[in-house]
Amino acid sequence: MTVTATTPYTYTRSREAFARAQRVIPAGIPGHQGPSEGCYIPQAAFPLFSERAQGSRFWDVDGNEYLDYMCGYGPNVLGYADPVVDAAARRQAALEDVVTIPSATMVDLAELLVDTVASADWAFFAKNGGDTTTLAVMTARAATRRKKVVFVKGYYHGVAPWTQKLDYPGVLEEDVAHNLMVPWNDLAALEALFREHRGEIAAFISTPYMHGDFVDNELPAEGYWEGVRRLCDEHGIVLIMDDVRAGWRLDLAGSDHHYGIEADLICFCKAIGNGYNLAALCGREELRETVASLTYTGSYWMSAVPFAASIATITRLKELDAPAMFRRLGTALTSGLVEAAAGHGLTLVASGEPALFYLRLADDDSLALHQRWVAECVRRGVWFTSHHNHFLNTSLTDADLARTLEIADEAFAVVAAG
Amino acid sequence: MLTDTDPRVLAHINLFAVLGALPALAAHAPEAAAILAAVDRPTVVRLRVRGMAETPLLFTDGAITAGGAGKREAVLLLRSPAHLNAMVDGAAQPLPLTGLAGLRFLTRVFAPMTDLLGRYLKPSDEDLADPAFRATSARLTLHVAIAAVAQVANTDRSGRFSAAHIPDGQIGVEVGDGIGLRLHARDHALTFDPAPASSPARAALAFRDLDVAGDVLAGRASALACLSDGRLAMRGFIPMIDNVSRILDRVGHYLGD
Repeated sequence: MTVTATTPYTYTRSREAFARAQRVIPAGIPGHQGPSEGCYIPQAAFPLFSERAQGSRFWDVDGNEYLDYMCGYGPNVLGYADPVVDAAARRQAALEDVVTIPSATMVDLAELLVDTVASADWAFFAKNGGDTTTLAVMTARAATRRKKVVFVKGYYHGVAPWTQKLDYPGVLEEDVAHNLMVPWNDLAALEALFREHRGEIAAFISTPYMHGDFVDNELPAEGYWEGVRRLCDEHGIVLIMDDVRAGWRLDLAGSDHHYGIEADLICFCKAIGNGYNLAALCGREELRETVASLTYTGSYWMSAVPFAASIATITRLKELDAPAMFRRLGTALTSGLVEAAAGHGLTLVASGEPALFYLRLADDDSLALHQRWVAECVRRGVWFTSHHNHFLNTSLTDADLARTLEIADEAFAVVAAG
Repeated sequence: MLTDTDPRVLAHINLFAVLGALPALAAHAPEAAAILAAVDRPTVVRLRVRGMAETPLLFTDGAITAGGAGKREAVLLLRSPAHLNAMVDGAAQPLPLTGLAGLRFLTRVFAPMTDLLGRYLKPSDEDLADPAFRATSARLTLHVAIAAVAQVANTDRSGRFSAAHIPDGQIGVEVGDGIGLRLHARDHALTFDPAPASSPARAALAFRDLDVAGDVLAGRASALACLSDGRLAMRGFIPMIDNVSRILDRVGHYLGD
């Protein structure tokens, strides 16, 4: 099961596949799962293609094994190839998947979401997190007949033009002309912005806590979300919670519920189907007719297999009380990592919620040391990232954590040696 | 992404990054020595553009340096940033304010040097076939591009937006083991520094060699593809690199074909 920690991996077949990819795919692997956006630093320390996955592990095309703390950037919440979820998907696939009219399985899942998510009176399905954040903003604009949207600095809500910035290629100034920014956790700034643009703001969109890249993640201050809710109500602004990343790991009733409020709209994707392709926007009764009035659909948005997989996933997460498990696992892991770093004279900072911990070696201000440590971990079989929060899945065992700490300790030793 | 460009920003690029590369041209282009041999005494050329800071360049036998005082002065007067841009494009002439000897200097030294710079920055296919020329061309192109990043970061609307996301620190731009340029970020303003590194940069962008640098900057190769296969590497605080890359893209809007 385990590999020798002292033998760094090599990636011959990954490189061969990447050379093929570069001939037929722009940048070889575009996007966040590629070496550029994925921050493979140095590039040579990382594999590029996976071959199979099971539970908390995947194996690359060279046969190297990884304990995976990115979980496909979030979807893997129960373990890769979870037998219960896969069996539900297979049963549905044997019946039908993409057909001219939808399967009633869609209704089953919508009922489950409305029963499970505290703020949900309805559910609307799509495929990616960005589908739902875009739908949420369109809904807010249609409901309020206002243009502006308030974001928290350092935000990420997908890749649609309205979520990008003035200096991004392919994005027009007009696409982002109505975007306003406030600092995270700053109720005074939010109130001032709402007053300055009274009657112009359609929505406030935010993740449940600040889990931005390259920076220590920040939880909401005491009373922050209650204050946001109050201000949105006072100004008639739709409160959108982007729970795409944190959803199903903090609180099965929604991260808005976890932090003590009810959002008007809440966006889910990633962990909702344990890897089966699905996203959902849930919302309050008052916005039901507005959503219904929008022109918004896609070829695969009502495929039945992911609906069945999602029902199985959510049911299993409830049975396991997954959020409690993630808190325990995440706290044990990050505490162990911090202690291991200290043993080598290094200062590791773990931030954010334990279920989605972010790591940073704080011994220099450039992240270069941290990038070296992450690379040494990956080359020894633990998949961490240097730029992004991590994700846990319920198939992780205490033995997995122990093995992770062994490898991390060896990587700290390499880094500490200079 | 802004779809238009600002003539005033282009003038800053032309004055401080393009013409600002004349010292590097004198240091690295083998043809420069013969032209500079015609400098009979230290001469300062002052580029005076209405609405912009005056830029003096000191020409001596064998070298060009920024600033300084010379025994002879030649002032090149440009009515506006647009006039400067037209001059750099070869579509207008500056108004020289100097004596007869100064005029001789301008025609025998200054103009041939700027022509030589143009040849290295917009090389013909024939010139690029010569490996030594190609290497010098890439080196000067890199110098101009990174110097232009600072100008765009400080004067262009999109550039300022990107620079607003850059924290304080040094950003290194490296080519192989031998070439290192720097951008200093402070309070979201950038300063170009062609001097060798004195301390580790907070973030660095490293081209494998001059061919890769030349290909990326000329648009013959994608920076993203080069990052993906290791011809181009980044390290350190990546948001600094990310935003410099966005400014570099914007530089391309001004200097691209």
